[in-house]
Amino acid sequence: MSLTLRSAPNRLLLGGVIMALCGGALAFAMSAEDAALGRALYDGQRALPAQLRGHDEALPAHAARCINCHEGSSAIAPALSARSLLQPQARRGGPPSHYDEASFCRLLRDGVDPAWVLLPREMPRYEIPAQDCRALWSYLLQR
Amino acid sequence: MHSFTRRHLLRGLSGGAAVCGWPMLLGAQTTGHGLLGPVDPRPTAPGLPLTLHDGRPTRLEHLLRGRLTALQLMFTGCSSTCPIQGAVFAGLQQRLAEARLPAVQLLSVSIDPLGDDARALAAWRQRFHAGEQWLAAVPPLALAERLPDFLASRPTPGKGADGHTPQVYLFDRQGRLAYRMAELASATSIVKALGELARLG
Repeated sequence: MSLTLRSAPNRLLLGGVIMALCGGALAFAMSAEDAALGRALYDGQRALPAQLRGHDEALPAHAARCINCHEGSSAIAPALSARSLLQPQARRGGPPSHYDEASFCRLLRDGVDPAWVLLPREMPRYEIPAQDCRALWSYLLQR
Repeated sequence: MHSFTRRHLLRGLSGGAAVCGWPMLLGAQTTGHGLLGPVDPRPTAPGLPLTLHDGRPTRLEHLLRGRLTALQLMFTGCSSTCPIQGAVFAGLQQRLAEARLPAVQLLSVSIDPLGDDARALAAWRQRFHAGEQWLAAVPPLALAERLPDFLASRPTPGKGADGHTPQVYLFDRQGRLAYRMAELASATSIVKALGELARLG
């Protein structure tokens, strides 16, 4: 029996396939957009308001870029990637822990890691909206 | 070649410190929170030729005499803590203007004579909108370690690769080291300490 569009079930089936393809394309586009935003946040192309714990003054954008401390041969902070973030490991003398999006964003805002260990003062505290944090998280998981 | 070697040395100092046992050399104060707080007795800063950010030659002991000084160690090629240190000094500059403390200067001294010269220091100052009371200077290569040694400014082993602590050191009007601030102390706390130093002399 050949497949035709004369029957309603076949039309419904075709419509469902088209919608699924469009949804998948849309999801891919959103992820790519998030990744681009995440990258811009990570390398400082897009500035995030930040200050040090206990300080009143805001940091200038160029002093608060993630890449300053997390990238390069003179990095003083851990490299950020899916492996380093998702894999359970002891951090800063605490028990083994791993990040999820919520704990990652909490760390950026409050300076507390998943094991409730306070980060050193060198790590700025960021004012980062949920959408931006999600984008940064998505980008880092692709590294 | 020399620049490469020098910067590698700077980046490896924290590892080298761990190997060489800096905590043993500097005594019990280096365990836990490190060297900070009032310095008693106050040692006089060592004699040290410097080149200022505007190219003028001077000496550390001349710069320090007659005014209170907040001093930090940095180098312009440092991308991690030094930009933050510069930001702290920028905030301090603002707070000092508001506090109207007389005869106070800020001094950023490079620990990388191979990588830093007057031009690099001038550009670094400009990035933070440094005013007239904020000087930057670099010693000659042969004497690069003299000031860090005097300040006992070595990072906690394993803590960083910048080769210096992000502390601010306060000098009195006689050019003597009087106070070591905590690492990355706030501008507010530095102003408070300078105010006490001005009051106590």
